[in-house]
Amino acid sequence: MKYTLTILLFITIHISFAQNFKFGKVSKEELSEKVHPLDSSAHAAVLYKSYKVYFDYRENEGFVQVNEITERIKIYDKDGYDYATHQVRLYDESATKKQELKGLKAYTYYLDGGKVEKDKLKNESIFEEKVNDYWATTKFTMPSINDGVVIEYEYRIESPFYGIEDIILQYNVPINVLEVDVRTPEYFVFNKLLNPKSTFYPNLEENSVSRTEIRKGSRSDFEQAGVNRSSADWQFQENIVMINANNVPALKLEPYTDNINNYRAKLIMEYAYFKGPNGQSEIYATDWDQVVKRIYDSESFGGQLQKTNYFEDDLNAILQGVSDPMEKAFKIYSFVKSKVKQNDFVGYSSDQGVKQAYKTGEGNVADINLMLVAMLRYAGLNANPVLLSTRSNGIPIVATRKGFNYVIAAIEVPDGLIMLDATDANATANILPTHTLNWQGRIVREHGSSAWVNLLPSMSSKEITSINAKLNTDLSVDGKVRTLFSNYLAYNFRDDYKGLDEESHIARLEKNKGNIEISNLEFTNQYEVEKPITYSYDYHVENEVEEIGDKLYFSPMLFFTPKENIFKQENRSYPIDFIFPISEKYTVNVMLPEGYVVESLPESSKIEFNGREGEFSYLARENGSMLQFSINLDLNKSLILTNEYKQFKKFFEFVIEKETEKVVLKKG
Amino acid sequence: MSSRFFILFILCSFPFILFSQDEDVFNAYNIPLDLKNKANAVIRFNSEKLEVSDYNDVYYTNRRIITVLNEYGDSNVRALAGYNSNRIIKKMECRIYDANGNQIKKIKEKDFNDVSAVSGGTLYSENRQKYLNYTPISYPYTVDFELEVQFKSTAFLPDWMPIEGYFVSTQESHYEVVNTSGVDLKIKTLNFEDYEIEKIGDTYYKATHLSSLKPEAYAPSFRAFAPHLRLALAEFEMEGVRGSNNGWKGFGMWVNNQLLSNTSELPQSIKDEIKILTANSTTDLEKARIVYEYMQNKTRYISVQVGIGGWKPMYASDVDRLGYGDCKALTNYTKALMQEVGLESYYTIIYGDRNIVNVDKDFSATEGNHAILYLPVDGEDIWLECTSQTNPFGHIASFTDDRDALVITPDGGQVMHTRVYNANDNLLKTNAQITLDEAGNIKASVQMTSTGTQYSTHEKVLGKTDKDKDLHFKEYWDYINGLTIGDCEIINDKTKVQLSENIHVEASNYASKSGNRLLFQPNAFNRVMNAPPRYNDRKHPVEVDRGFLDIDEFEIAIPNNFEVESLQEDVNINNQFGEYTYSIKEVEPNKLMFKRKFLLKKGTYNQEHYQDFRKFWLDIIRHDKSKIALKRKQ
Repeated sequence: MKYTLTILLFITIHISFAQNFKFGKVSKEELSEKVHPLDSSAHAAVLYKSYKVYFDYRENEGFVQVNEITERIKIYDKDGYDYATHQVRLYDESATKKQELKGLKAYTYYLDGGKVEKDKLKNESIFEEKVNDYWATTKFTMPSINDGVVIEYEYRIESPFYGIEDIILQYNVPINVLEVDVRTPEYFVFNKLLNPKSTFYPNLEENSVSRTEIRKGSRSDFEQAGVNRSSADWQFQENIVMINANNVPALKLEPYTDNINNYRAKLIMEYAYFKGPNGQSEIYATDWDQVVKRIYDSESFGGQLQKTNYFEDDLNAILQGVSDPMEKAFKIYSFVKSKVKQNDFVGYSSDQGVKQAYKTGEGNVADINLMLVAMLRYAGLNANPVLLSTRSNGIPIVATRKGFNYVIAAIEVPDGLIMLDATDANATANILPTHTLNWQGRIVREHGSSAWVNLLPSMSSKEITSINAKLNTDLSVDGKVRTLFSNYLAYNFRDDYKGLDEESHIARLEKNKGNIEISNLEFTNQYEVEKPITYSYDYHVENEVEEIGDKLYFSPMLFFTPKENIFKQENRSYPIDFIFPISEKYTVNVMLPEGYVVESLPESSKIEFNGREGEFSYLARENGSMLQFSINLDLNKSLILTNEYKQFKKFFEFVIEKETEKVVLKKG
Repeated sequence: MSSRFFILFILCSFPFILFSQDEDVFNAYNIPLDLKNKANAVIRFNSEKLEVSDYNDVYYTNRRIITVLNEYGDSNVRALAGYNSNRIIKKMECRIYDANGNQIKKIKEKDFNDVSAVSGGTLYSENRQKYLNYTPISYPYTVDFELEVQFKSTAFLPDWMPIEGYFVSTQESHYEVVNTSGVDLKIKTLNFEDYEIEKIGDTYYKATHLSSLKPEAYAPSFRAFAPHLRLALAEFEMEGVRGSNNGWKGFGMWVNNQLLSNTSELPQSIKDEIKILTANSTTDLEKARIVYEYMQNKTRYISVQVGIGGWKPMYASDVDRLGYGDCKALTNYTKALMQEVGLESYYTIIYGDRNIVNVDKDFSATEGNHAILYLPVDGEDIWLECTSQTNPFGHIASFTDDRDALVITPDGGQVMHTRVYNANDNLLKTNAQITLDEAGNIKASVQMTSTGTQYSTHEKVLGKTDKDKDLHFKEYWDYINGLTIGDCEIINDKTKVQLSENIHVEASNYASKSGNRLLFQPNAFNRVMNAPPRYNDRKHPVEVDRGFLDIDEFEIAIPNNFEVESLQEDVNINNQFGEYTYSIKEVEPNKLMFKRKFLLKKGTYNQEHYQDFRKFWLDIIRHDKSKIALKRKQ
């Protein structure tokens, strides 16, 4: 009996794995499947994905990179129809610098009366488009799409470039069977890495085989390879990286995620160096030191730091009579901010050169911040550029030049670093545009040595609101509000509301605060970006106090009382990122309406989250006809991890509950 | 030789008028103060000239000088032009000036960015666009843009909007049409009387000193009050096809004959199939429903804009073969299928928009952005949206309802009004049975049924995964802290076009404790939270474009050891905007019944009524959030 069972089990397993992924061999079983066996919420699934990379050797052309892609996709229902349209982005700068899509074949398979039928993708449903000067796309959409169909396509991309693009291993729908096969001739050496932030982490299999090419013509790179032109056989090693994985889970989107692609599984192949057959070599990257050194040595980076003559006269005039180094730095920083504005481009490499940017008043991030470093150095400050990767570019995972896409300036002082970004008018010392606050950056010192520096802010950004409130017997409230924002909250405020006129500010403040009227709005330090911003206003609000029976009820935070808890999910798959520590403080002074006394006051209390990573305190005091409340919320850590989320949600629920609690007044 | 000289002379004379005031117009400090008020950008000078030399040859010359005052105004620069093989850019250049009027940059045609003009949601389009991508160094700055375009396809010619949008004022703007073609030219001006616009010649207008407009809540759309000149040629060309436009009837005839005819042939197998499917139907309505659902199952929406100006539908046989199409193709395909089962239906051109936008019944022109199908059947007017695979038969609330549309018949075009959803049609009924415990927690079973526009809002829950449904309901009741969602059952009755949602929820500490009291807010599941904003000086009329009706009934069981301390008096508000009632009663010991009704009527009221309108909402908010006090029994 036992014996039979084993055989049966074996057979079942065998059957379920006996799918045929040869192109065109779509089975009835695949077509009749109604829901994904492991993920019933999937509207579509990739039944099979094969991604092959290899380098063809061609006469007159040399090595040509070929990416060969095959995908078989099951569409379960209408919400999965988007997967019937596919788009391929192709670099297309010029006839010799372009990727080309070739050999596209695609079919839609469906069941017709129990029989497998197929419809071919025809030219009329393939659309080629030149997007702009650098990019083209080919889009196609499959015929005969219906619930339950399977589509299958294959194509290859040929490219004269040797760099291999990141290979995506995870979609927003499940992938049942995934095969990756990357073969690189020994001459091109790659670093291999899987995204460590992803929860899906397949095995990499590596080995090496011998490859033989028959050469007739020649190609300069390989001409002296010890083979003469007429000889036929040319042997070299080929390195292979393979992934064979089953059941790759779907990547599910969640609110409050910084950049979902940071969590997507992918294989990164970084082109490290070229090692020619004749011993000639060129290093592209090996470790971070090397990567940085190479960046530093390039004319568009290090070269830009050497140039000073274009600004010397102007700068001398500005710095005339200034001796304090920090004052000099401040003057230079303000000067660069007003002198050159950032165009649409980021990047750590100077685009048009600092000189040109200085002249035209427009440049990319590198033009501006490298210019800033050069000027600071010229003024005698110990200033250096810091390379970093913006939030949308993701965390730099592997030692690669692509790992960085941005540069800022830093002044080294005895007690640390003063980081500056002159591309943003609202940025200031150690207050950088939030898209740059991504993990750590690499400071590049003179002569090209480098070290990691932390970019995440540790000091908290404050929002301090003081409210004076006089409660009236007609249930209205009169008073004054004063609000202060510091650090990143000030930065965000200035960034969000720059150029807003007073009337619009008042409208913004009045929004969703009930029947309120705000007047006498006054700002201080609205434009002094290095200082906290404050504003104050008078208000009159109707029906802020509620009468039930003969008692009055109100929340001490009045119209600032939160209306909802923004953390609604029960579980999280990815962390929540607040970007910087936050401290929120409300001080409320309330004058009771005539003829009323307190019947009950919310209890003072204090609660902590995860040690002191989150702290909330609520203090209520009664002093004759005056009440005083002090309500503080400190989030000392900016990243809430998934395993801390449940506890954090509870903490926040408590905060909301406390902040919405009411004071009860009775006739005295 | 002499004639050439003459032409040059004329061309030069025009800019001369402008250059005499050069300094004024490039210097940002010369803008009159009132034009800077509430403006992000000021059109300093704009002149648009259309020279119509034939039905298929129009030369457009535009000079546009705009001063941008702050970063919000960058998007108003609009130094761009769309082009394709029938719309050819002849000249395009740009100069940038600083605040003092000194030229700081010059951009030639080849330096404009050149991109494909595929908008979101469209897979492919033949159109391309060139645009200026300029990084402002400081504000204000001024852009002088010159554009010349030759239109061989003349179905869509530039209209004139002397006020271009909100927060943009205009110092001076000219619009001139010179028609030497002999083709009739129709011009219609809208809302000119309220603005300073002169008519200089028969077809030459000039606007001066137009202050900026500001958007307001519950106001008519910008088009409804902004000055606008529309024009159309009686004879025109649309991507190589000659057209005529003598009123909607004739224009519709042209659409029918040139764009629709011979596109509706279906393969025999489909003809047979659809006949078999409808063979047992007893009524035409039932047949139509089967055809509609057949189309929905067979196709999907893919937008590919090729061919005649994006106006000619794909062949019905191609839709059938490929299984996809855009609004035109799918509408035309459905029409062909209806025809096959003996139902006459009509291709209809319309504006698809959440806001109500009409086809102008008094001025025929190439307009509209969407196509639907009009089907008169069994004495009923049915309008069919053909681009959705899930939309119920005949449901058009929130996107193509209540507006004038152009219905194409073999006898020509006819403007008809689509279905109006009255307040009572847009119903949301919320019933709940709530149990409150002495800690203040609630458990409740909630039943919601929605129709009309409220169906359109509520049906978005369909197709969501369980995890997303959980989040959806938490967002729906976002004001309840500590809410958990239990079982939910959703029934989509497509025949009645009614969605039923049955949800079990729990919320911890829903009622707040103060001393020995529980404060309980009876309206747990349908609150108005936000009122329209306050304006010091309301400019526009109040417009409610769609009404609705909410009816709520919640049974509330309170803990046995508590008693009611106080309940609200009944509220009954009845005014021109609608109706609101609120009542809470103790129907038996420890059992309360809460009833609420909120009716908002469709209507337009002049601006003096805005205060009252806002007060109506504020009163509702106040009542919705009112609480009752429950006291622990002694």
